[in-house]
Amino acid sequence: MVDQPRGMTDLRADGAMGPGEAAAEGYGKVEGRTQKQIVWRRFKRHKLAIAGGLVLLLIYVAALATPVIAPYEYDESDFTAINQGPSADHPMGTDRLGRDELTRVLYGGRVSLVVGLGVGTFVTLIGGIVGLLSGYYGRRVDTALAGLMDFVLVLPFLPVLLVLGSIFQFSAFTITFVIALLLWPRMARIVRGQVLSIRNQDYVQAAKAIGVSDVRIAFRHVLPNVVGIMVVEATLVVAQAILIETAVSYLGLGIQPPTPSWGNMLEDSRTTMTTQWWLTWFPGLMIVLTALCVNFLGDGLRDALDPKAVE
Amino acid sequence: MLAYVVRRTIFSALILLLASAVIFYIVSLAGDPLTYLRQNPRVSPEDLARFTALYGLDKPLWQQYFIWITDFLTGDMGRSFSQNTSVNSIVAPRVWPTVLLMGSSLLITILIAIPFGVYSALKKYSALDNAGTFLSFVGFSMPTFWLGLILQLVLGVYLTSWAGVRIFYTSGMRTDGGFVDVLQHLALPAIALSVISVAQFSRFQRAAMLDVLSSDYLRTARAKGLPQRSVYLKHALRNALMPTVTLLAIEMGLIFGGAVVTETVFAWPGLGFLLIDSLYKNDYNVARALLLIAAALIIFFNLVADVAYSFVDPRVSYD
Repeated sequence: MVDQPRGMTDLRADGAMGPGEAAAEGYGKVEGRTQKQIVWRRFKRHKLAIAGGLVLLLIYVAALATPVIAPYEYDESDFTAINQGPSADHPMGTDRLGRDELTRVLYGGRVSLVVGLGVGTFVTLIGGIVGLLSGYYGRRVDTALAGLMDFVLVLPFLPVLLVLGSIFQFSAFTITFVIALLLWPRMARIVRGQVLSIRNQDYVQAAKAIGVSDVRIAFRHVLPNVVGIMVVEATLVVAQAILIETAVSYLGLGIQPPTPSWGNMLEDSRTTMTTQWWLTWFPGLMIVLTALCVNFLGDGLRDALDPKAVE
Repeated sequence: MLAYVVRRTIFSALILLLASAVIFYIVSLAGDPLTYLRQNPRVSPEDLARFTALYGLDKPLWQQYFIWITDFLTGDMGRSFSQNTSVNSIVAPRVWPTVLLMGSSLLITILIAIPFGVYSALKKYSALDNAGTFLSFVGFSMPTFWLGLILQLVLGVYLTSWAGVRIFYTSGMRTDGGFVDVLQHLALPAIALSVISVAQFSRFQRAAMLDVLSSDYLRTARAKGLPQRSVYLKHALRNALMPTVTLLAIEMGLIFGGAVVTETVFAWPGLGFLLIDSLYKNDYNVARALLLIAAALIIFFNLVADVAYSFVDPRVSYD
């Protein structure tokens, strides 16, 4: 029964939308390789995912090292160099206060990247736990938790976020938290579905029959089979969260100036867009590049971790 | 079957009622809506008392909610905090522009995404399919507001100065303009809004088509010796369209939540822009009404998709 939007995970599937065949069939053909090696071999073939992962790593390292590598301070004004195009001194130009755009793009990225990673982590935790509980215990627990998921999913996501942003001024931490609170149900739903199909597999029944505790079954037998799909969904959430945070900040209801974020820098660039093109292009291209890398990485992971894939 | 529809409808109504309470509560967190009046020394205590009574702010919150929701159900969305009118009269003129924008975006999406998705599935891993895959990744990763800015810059500003005449307008919409004028204003926001859904739906249609192409009944159809055309168009496409139509219905529910950003970038006078506008003006009664409308649309179209799907697909059980 279809009663909710399909996530992007579904959209990327190559005709594998139905319930799968026996999960581990493909592995029988490969001898002497551990699960990790198999996954790594498959992932390596995905050139765009490798490239995406490397660029993303570079972006995150740059964000971490920003205070060291940034050529200027993010609020340092040089009034002799106002509204300058890209040059050797200022590779991404300067804004109307003579602040170095490259420095601000670096600092602005820290906010978006932290929010992305933070939301990914929170959503994985909440969604993972709720999905595991609801799928594993079924019955009343499932009814209650699935009801909660359905309910959060019908709230108009962006409008609610914007209203909250206008009432409470968001910091990087609070916006992370609120986005995660609104985004977790899709993860929970995916995990729940996976757990439901694993719960009745013979090996879980066997473990139950010999008296293994629920907690041990959940962590030893069920969780490892859900991790793959969670990782993939988590990457999608990271990209989504970055796009959401920048949009909310662009609308002036997210991260507030003078703290630079890619979103509020673009809002700032709006009035001078026609003359100072560099202020509009660079922060935006960084958002696209980051989200694109995350999505490619997610796609590679999906192929690599898919238990139905055949060597 | 009928029992299922009735049960789903009742359930949806209950969910909506619950959502209305949560929405009312969230917006009430904004605090006293009359703060700006209290701070004004020229507003007398009598006036203040009058306003407090007018908005019903002297009553406890649960009573305020009860009044709000019963009024809402009779078609009265309350009074604006920032203008001396009803919320109804503020919201009403904003409906058509949003419907127009979303409708055109939907049309663009259907016209491009479905044929391209089907083509991609039939010519899997061809150059065009691979290009489509790559482009849809770029589409997914594109912030709508930035795409809007770039469209304004390139197709609005640069193209105008290059061509010497204005082809696309970058913001607003005139109510008195003719058909061509409306198109000139509509084009850029409609394109900005369509990019992500074209990316999403073309991939979705491709996956749905591939799913059908690998099914047994299609192999049977081919084995019978039916011509390719008939196999693809009659047997495959009709079934492959089903999930897409469902997803389209659900997408309609997201109608103005999704348009908030685009409408604001292009100053498009619709419901999404109104939401942002009301938040800047602290007009929380307007925001409240818009949130509830948004939730109602989502719930309604989910219900439609659900019921439609169970009608169309005989494999879906509805008990």
